[in-house]
Amino acid sequence: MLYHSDESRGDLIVSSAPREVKILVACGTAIATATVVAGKIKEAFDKLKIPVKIVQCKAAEVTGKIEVFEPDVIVANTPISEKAAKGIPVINGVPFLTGMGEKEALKKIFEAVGIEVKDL
Amino acid sequence: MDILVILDLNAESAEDVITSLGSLLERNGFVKPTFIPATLEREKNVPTGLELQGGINAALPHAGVEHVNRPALAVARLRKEVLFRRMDDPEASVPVKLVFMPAIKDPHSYITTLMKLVDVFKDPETVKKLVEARNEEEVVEILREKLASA
Repeated sequence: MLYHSDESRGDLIVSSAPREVKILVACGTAIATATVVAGKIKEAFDKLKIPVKIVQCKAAEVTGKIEVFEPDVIVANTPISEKAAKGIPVINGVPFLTGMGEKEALKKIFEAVGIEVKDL
Repeated sequence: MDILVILDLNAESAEDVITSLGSLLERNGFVKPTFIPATLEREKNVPTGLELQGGINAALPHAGVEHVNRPALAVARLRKEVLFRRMDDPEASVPVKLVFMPAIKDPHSYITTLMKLVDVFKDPETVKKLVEARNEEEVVEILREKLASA
């Protein structure tokens, strides 16, 4: 599926993504904060009209979920080891809860999946 | 949703704060006696200290729905900042001024409330108002407005 988006979100411009981005959101308990981070990421992607599929899990379940879901990127509120992440990029999700460094976190997600990002 | 507030709470540690807020919820019937120990345990394993924009930091200690009778939000503004370990780096800490303890009964219908709580964290204006509020009623009013807005 090919689509094109030049929507800008404040001061980020992203260009076409070839397919749905798959994000695994991991948290200590997988309830509250993971769900909120997932919601905030979905908001950001919807605004940019980029399709995204988000699955949540507990930090301990990451390795298992990777096999089933094959995410492009892991967004975690709690440290995840490189070993557990099996080499998939892990990005700190706390900026989506605090606003502090949120733009940078989004950029890292986009870059990890090969979506071009530009600051205005 | 009920909002309970303690202003100028004197506490020496994150455990102190959690116990005080948890007791407030427990004696008003919102949570079971297992809530405080569960919250303390959870905070040890998955700390909730958050560095916000603007220099005031927050924490979000809470426990699972099995420890809750009725949903509520307990909030404490600390007289002096207390260190909470960081959610994104448990080896590090942040000095926290505002502590939010949600007692969540049903995670799915409560997510909207949590999203709005995050909107509070992400808004330096609101955080400043909470720090400067003169009494409990003001804090409740500020939060109700933020939690109710579409």
